[in-house]
Amino acid sequence: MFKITNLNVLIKNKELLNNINLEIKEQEVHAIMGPNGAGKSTLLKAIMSYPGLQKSIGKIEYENQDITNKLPNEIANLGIYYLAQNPMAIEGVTTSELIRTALQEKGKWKDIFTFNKECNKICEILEIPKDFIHREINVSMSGGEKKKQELLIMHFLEPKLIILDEIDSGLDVDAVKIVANFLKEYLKEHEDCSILLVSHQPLLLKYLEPTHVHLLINKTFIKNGDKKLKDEILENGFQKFNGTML
Amino acid sequence: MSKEEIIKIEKENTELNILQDTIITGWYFPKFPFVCNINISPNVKLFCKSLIEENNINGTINIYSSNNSELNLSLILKLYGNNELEIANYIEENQNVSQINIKVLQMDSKKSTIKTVGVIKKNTKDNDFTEKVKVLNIKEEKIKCMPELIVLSNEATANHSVTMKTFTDEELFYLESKGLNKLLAKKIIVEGFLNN
Repeated sequence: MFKITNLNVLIKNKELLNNINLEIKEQEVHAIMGPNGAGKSTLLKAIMSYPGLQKSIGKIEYENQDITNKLPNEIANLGIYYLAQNPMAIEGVTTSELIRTALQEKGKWKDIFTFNKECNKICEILEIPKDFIHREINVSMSGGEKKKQELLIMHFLEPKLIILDEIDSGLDVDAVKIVANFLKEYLKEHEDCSILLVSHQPLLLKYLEPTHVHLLINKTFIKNGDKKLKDEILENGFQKFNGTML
Repeated sequence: MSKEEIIKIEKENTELNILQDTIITGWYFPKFPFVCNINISPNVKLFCKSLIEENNINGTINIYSSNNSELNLSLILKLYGNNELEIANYIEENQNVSQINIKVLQMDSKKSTIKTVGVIKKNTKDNDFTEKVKVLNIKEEKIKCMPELIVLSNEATANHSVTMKTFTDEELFYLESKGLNKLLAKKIIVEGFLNN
């Protein structure tokens, strides 16, 4: 379903990632862990063709399509949703306008009544006020509110691959559980869906247990494993793995 | 009771007296240099919320506030060609409230200069002046903004601000990552700027 092969990522000719390989199948939850500055966020941004990041070698494929050099909107419209660590605020544009515009672009806009009804339902699940949809995108919101707002948007765009960059940052203990449960439910309801996430936090990884764990140190994956690797990392830290190679 | 008025600037020098509460519903600008003086009478409110889509404006609008008058001026300037526009508010007496909000978009690759002036005269009291100018650079155009605030009284509240922005990579990337192409992303940012 999703595959990265021998990927190198540069910015202004400076190497940020080296020889990245990754394969994600349906219903899998992949967690990327690693010390600060290892390149985790860079990898997620590179998948989405973030401006300025060059993919010098390698390939990214999604559903048998080469998306290595596709534009961000093209990648999104194939069914990949990216939730940044610090979601952008866009003044003057409400969340509902963004969702409506995005759905109209995909030809999936139904009508305002169906939309509002669905909105109210999701706001209740995420425990956010119903008027959130009419607020400017991520303006004057706490970190946790921004993340929940992004999940609200995600629900309507119905992605098949969800990419999450430290979604738990800024979330309180209860909010982590709400978010994790929301994602688990989404995964359950969408059989062809999978998740790729970056996280350091034991709580999120407890509620949203990864099926695969990848340890990124010094620009490359040095170890791959399952949830046992996650437990090992959380218990012993990253130092233990310095010097380890695949 | 308010009256509605369209400001038609048809001569090089135009003088307008606002004698009762007035809502400006439109503006007509000439294609030659002009000065338009608007005098707000005491105890009168002047309200204007207009979208002005014009090209090659070259002129000055001076608004004079009297005792206990109120000015609420909100303009969206969608400009084409080269423009030079000065908007000044002179507060000459007491207990006035002035709120000026101007948004500027240059729609082509030409050059515009927008000068805003606020003057609170000496020996006046209890005046409140606020001015905000926001500029959105859409293309490679040059917009020059020159705010000027002169407060000669010790008993006034006054502030002004100018913010200039363009499309940032992060903003565009955020919207594109939601499935909008670059053109649509810019369109939505412009609409947001106008609505905000």
